[in-house]
Amino acid sequence: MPTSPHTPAPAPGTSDRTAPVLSVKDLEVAYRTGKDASVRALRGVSFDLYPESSLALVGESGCGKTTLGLALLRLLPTLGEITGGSITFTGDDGRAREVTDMTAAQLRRWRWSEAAMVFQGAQNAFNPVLTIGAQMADTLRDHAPGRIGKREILERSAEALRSVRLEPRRVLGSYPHELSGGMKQRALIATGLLMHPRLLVLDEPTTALDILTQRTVIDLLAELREEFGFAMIFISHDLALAAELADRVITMYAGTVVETGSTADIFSSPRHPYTSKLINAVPPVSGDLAELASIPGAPPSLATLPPGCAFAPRCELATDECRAAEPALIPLVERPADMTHAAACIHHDQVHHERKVIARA
Amino acid sequence: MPETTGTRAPLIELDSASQVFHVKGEDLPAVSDVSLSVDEGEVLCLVGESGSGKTTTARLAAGLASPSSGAVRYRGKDLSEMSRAERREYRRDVQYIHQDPYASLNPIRSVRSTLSIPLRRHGLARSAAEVDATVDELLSTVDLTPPESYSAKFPHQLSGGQRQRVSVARGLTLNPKLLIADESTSMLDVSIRVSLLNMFTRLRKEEGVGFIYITHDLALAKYFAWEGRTAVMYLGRIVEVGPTPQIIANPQHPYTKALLEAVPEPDPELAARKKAGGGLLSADIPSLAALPTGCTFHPRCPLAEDRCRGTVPELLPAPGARQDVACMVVTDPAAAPSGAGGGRT
Repeated sequence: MPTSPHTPAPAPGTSDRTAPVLSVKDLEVAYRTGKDASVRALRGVSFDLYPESSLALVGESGCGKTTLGLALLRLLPTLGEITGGSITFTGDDGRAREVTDMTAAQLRRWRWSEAAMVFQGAQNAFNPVLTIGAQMADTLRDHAPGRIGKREILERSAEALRSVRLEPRRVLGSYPHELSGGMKQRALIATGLLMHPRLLVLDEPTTALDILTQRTVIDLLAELREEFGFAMIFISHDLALAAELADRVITMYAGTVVETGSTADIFSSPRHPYTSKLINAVPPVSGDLAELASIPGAPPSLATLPPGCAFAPRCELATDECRAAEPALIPLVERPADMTHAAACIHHDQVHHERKVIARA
Repeated sequence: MPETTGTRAPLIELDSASQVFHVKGEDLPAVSDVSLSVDEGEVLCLVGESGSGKTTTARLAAGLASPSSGAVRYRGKDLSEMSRAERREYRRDVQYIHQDPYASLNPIRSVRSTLSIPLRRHGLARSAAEVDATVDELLSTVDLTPPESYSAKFPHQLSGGQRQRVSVARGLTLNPKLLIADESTSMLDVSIRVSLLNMFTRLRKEEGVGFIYITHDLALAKYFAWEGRTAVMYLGRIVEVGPTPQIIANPQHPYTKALLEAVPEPDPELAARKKAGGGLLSADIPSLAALPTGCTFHPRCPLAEDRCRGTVPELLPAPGARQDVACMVVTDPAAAPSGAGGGRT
């Protein structure tokens, strides 16, 4: 496991400022599919997330990225269940708390005030029959510690909207359909930031937005992170977003981590063939014309995982050894703060990442 | 004018086409004075934000809407003057692939049923055996193999990417000459997107199919239309058009430059060099119901001068470049130092 070189979360009561905000150990999630049947949606996911850092979870649809995001905040749908492992959250007070052990009341206080999520699909995440102001007020009333007055609700909502460069006077009284897609996405981020959480999880924050709106949201997230100092996890199938916003990337495949490392390491020399192929499926706009290749086939169904390495059926490097046993993460370049570059591929030294140029600019 | 001899007419041609929508007593000029053409085996990318008119332009080319003024011609023949037989041929030859594979397939039809209806209606397959053979062939073309494991399935049994392929296969049932693909808000996985584009390129090169491809992402335009042209649209007008490599490497219009700056780069070093906000003065596109005067881009434009507020710029060759651009500051820079009064436009 790549997390081993680092100190695990400190014992409750200590106030070590350099402790990870989030420490995930061997996390397992299963979805019930029938009376006695279930599928393993997450299989032994471990990572540490340090304060003010930004982590991208990448992979195709169905690789477990959203499941992981939801599990971290205990927001899994009814059929989903954390079946093993731990999620340790360390708040501003330096107190480490086990998220998997929290009661419903504890979760209610913790969510949004310390850890918030911006859900996928800005177009549908707001209730269409309530104004933005009413929905922000609901969030504050439900999650703020103690009672909170009308005036304070208004002030805090306005402050959050201003922080995402929206005009509170125009937006607070508006219904979702009266805002453009980009404004809705920014209002959602503002709702996530209402209580200045230490951790913000964003699921596909720019998908289905126009390119100029995407740019606004990307720049805004970078600025907000500097301003508020939260740690960020964002989920995306688009590696370009990771290159823009993340310090660190985790590639997921079939519910498990197949590669992890700093953004610089991952993009300059990905060592899992899956990551390399994901990068080469995104067109760069600068420079020469590079060939893009799709990844043949599709991610496996979690109900019928292939033996050994789950990526082997789509991988040209695969050998009998790959199909015999699932490879563990192999540390390749040791780095501090859980930035160690590691890949779950026994042929990692054969992954030669390059873009094939097909025409000169 | 229809031409049957001498120079051959292009496959599809929009000639000063405009489309005005009337909504609640207001005129919304969705497309204004757009001229473009695509020939067999050619590719044209339409690029712009939502509200730029690219989808409406594509719908005009597909005959899904009639222009309020101007003309749309297929092989030189005006769509509004076609006989029933000509219209039938045009309908068969020009196919539109919708952007949302979740909404564009009939949920109660199997893949085989979806693909066989156009075959039977246009008399391209007469027996059940012929239908089966053609459906299998189509599914193989879009990489849904083996075909027998997909033809009996219904849309809800397929993933988004598989549905999109069925959509494409349906577009291919009638051996089209022109495919219009709208991917502007596509939420497809990157790998699926690439495999569709590579399949389109194969059809273009091997079967001579012409393409109009709609996207908001110039990185995709660069990849798919490198050998063709790209037209950048803003509020219903083409503001820059030319060979794609020129548009990407040497953009002339400030809007094109902003779109290029905005594209996220799959490379952390390049990403760090991106300029925040793309240099635009405002992030929001104005409403079609209240278009700015003169050049409609002037309220967002970092180069705007007084004269830009008064005159709508024409699409003219850009000096020292190989594309046309609708920007007075670029095409007539000499007028700038002497102020608005000395404009030679």
